[in-house]
Amino acid sequence: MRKAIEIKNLSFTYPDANPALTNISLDIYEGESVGVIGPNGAGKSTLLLHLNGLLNENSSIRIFDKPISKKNIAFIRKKVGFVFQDPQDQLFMPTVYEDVAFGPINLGLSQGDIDKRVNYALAEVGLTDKKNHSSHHLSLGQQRRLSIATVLSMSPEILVLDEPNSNLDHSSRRHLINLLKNFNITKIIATHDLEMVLDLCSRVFLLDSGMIVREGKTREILSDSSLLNAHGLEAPRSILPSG
Amino acid sequence: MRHAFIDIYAGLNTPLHRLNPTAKIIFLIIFLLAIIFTPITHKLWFLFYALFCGILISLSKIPLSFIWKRLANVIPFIILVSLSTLFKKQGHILFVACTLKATLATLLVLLVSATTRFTEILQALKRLKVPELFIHLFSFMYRYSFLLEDQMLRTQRAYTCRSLNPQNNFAKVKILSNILGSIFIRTYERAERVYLAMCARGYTSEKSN
Repeated sequence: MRKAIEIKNLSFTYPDANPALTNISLDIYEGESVGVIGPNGAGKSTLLLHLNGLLNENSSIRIFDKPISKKNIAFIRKKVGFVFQDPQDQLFMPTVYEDVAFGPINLGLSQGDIDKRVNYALAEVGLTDKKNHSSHHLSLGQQRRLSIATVLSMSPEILVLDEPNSNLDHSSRRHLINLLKNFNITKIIATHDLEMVLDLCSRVFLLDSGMIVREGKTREILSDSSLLNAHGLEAPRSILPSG
Repeated sequence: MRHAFIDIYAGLNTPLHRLNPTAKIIFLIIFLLAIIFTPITHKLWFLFYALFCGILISLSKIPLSFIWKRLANVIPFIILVSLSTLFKKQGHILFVACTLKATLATLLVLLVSATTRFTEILQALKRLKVPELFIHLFSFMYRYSFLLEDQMLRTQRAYTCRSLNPQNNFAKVKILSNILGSIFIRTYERAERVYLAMCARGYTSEKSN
């Protein structure tokens, strides 16, 4: 199987001298769904930001065998669709349509193709009727789905999601999970929602204090209560033996 | 929190609302230039301009109170700027001219912005070949003005909840400046994140699309 993402010995320190990531190495294969779990401040978001070359150029990360560099950055941002945690950051254009069209415009597509992509992406997340609305007036669940549409319109091959369902009500959360289940592309999801990880991801990386503490099959790691407890997480109820 | 304070009357259906936004902006520019270049001694012309504004306002069906409130926000600034002319020779004439022209101009701009959705104005500006950078700036201003208002409101509420003792005005000003400071930092950090979000979707500052 082709490697979608390959990271070798990645370390990163923020300008305020906080070491955020230490010696991270991981491989993610094409078509895989991978969960990145860990307590608040573990470095999950920082790790994800690296996948799109947003923090700096770094030769220790390769996307489809291309290192992140100035030369490759356009290719990488086309392949990797990044969905930010806060829809207010992700959705910056005045209307829903313009937000979804932003990526395709930057790809230099023709107006016809842009329209096609926007319509496809909005239909995919069920927001076609909101095309001319202002994203500020959508519900949080709709904003989250719209955020996904804004990268879907660029037809990425890797979807990177940072806490896609925090603060959502039950039905919006379910809607989002089912939506993600239907995408047959490589997915990397950072989250605390371990039930969702169980539902969506085959493999899990447990991150704490900027280091990968454990990696392995989802069921294996999520049923290890003492491991999870030691890192600020709680085993999902559905995996625990009842009684 | 829901508010469309800019577009609140943009959805009405009057001839003025139906007019093509690009045409509106072109007319606006022509009239602004006309007002600016009419000498103040041509009193009849100014009567005509005022009458014209009046007709447009009644056509637009926008409540006078709305227009007055918006205008009242700007008038102090107009007067402040005009005041400087009083120190010149024949300053009082200049003062009247400045105030009158600026008020009429504001009224017209108000009318166009109140009868057109903001997004339509942006598209019209794009069609008129206004540089992309300005349009981006305007659209961000529009998009995030709602958020900023929400944030201010929420911070104010949180502050009210926790300030039980009546404080003197000096303490209040101090707290207000702290609130503004924290909102500034948060806004600044958000701007950074939004920029990252733009880059993530292939935005490069060199490209003008």
